[in-house]
Amino acid sequence: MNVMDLMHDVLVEIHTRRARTTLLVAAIALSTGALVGAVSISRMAAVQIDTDLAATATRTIVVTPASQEGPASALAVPAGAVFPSDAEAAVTSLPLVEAAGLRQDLTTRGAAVLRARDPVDGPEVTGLTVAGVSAGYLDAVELDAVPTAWMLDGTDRVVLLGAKAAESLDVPVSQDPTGHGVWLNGIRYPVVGFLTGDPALSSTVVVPYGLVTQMLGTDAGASLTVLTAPGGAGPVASVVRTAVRPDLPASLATSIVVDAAGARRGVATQLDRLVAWIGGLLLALTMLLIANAMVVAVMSRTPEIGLRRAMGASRRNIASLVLCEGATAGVVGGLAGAALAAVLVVATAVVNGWTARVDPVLLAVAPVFGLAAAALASVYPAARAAAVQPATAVRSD
Amino acid sequence: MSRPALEVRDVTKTYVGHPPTPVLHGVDLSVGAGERVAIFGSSGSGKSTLLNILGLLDVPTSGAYDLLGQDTCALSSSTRAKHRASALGFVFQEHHVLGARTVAENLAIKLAISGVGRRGRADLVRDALTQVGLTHRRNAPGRLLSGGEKQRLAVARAILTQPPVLLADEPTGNLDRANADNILDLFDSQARKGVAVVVITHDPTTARWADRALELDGGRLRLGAHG
Ligand SMILES: Nc1ncnc2c1ncn2[C@@H]1O[C@H](COP(=O)(O)OP(=O)(O)OP(=O)(O)O)[C@@H](O)[C@H]1O
Ligand SMILES: [Mg+2]
Repeated sequence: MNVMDLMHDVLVEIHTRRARTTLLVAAIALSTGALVGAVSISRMAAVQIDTDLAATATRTIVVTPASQEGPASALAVPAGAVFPSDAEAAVTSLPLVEAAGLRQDLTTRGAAVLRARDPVDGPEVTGLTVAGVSAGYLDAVELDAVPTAWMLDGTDRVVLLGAKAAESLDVPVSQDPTGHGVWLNGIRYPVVGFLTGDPALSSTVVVPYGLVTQMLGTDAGASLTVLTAPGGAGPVASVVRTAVRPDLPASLATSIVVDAAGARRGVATQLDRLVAWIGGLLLALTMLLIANAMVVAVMSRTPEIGLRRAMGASRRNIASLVLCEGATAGVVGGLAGAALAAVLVVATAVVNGWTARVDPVLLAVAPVFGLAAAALASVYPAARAAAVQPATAVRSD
Repeated sequence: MSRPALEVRDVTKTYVGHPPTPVLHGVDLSVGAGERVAIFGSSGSGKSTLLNILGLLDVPTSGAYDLLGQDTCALSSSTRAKHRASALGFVFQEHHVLGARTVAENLAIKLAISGVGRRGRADLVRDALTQVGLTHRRNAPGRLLSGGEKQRLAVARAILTQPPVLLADEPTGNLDRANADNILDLFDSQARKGVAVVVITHDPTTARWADRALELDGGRLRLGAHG
């Protein structure tokens, strides 16, 4: 018997017993749909909880000049006047704000040549960032207090060094850096302190913010970092632009720095585990159901199976018939299940006011899942069918 | 005489169970190609049991059975299935027509199992239906056929693939004289082509039609009174 004949027989059988096949397909659709739907809803819920958690856990906002390509460019912000001189004070006075500070990097706007020694014979040191920051910035990134930080609010030529920066520039990290200096663009800057508390600033040479603004003649590359009380990021973000530029809030953009990876992972694993349990139970239940339905079908077909065997069909032929029938019902049921899952997910999202998220990979998995479950569940019925004795079967009509 | 198409020697059959049912006690039978053999006997004497053994549907408890010169006792289940598909035509005592399939489909299933390609099937089906006079019922579902029509369909199915051995368990039981004679004529034409025909019957006419009529009695075959 070839494959075409096999498929033909399977289709005829399915067509002949429409009611039974419909029930079987419905059962598979329900369980695969529920499983895929549950996984999707669990993931959607995890993402939603993440977003909610992130909103409360996040404390940092960054305010930057609005993108030059955006509609804000039409507002023609005059050079050197993005952040007014009272920007930090205005933001710090907002409720829930704990610290705020400006930063503009020299390397992003103009060449910054660093040397450890005399400008004539010293080699250039590369790989470091030269950042102009205000004293408030160090507070806003939660750096431990540095005694000489106040100097960053002036325009004196001084530097504070991160750990790696100090190493690259041959400056030993100590309590008293008096006498040490670095050459920036050919001018000696005395070292007045070290910023060893924050790995993010390790490769940074920090100079006063006002100095960088003077040197560049603009603060177009500057950003204002705002640290809020826990849960304050959302509300502060909505008013901070007006606080900085009451005249032109649209010339600024804000972004909330999300950092809640830990909480996110915890929620996702717990939900996944629950869903895996429910899914496993559903799987077992469906397979029992399929197996039962198929065994009943095989028993009712015993005379036909016996006749086929008597006419020369091999055991393997008979087993393939039953397996293919189960597999076909599995694929169709799985497809219906995918549709059902999509409906479930969208309905859940609408009811909860969430953003509907349906993973197409998960939907594609549903028919495969239905196929595998149904084929596996058909193994025992197929074995029963293959064991039908032709001599006994042809005795009774 | 050339090698017989089928030959059983001292075959016994006891159905296992509590208690065991001994049915055949040493049957010897040899049927040559083109020969027509009728077997009769009282109900329960073991005629269907013997025919099932000849048709490779069942195995003897002891004894030897050669089909077309090949010893069948050592054959695997799948090889026996292959022989059933290609070497044997079987008309069952219960006709075993698939009620949900049409007359033509009932025949096509047999062709599919026997490995006949799709192209050749329509012609074979048409010929077989013409031979048994069922062409007009070609698209009727099996369940709507009369008893006699089912029997003729069963005969058509048995001769469909032109097997060298034809086994029929009461093929004329439900038929009027005219249809019964028609079936016997059909068997005659098969025998003339060299097919070995074994028919079980209660009908004296059929017994007389055969080249040899044997009676199964007490678990053994002997030349019957009809012969
Ligand atoms: N699988 C079986 N297990 C036990 N006994 C069986 C089995 N099959 C048949 N028999 C018994 O074997 C005996 C012979 O049965 P068989 O069907 O061969 O008789 P028969 O000659 O064909 O009868 P009939 O003319 O009524 O068709 C009967 O008594 C029957 O009950
Ligand atoms: Mg019988």
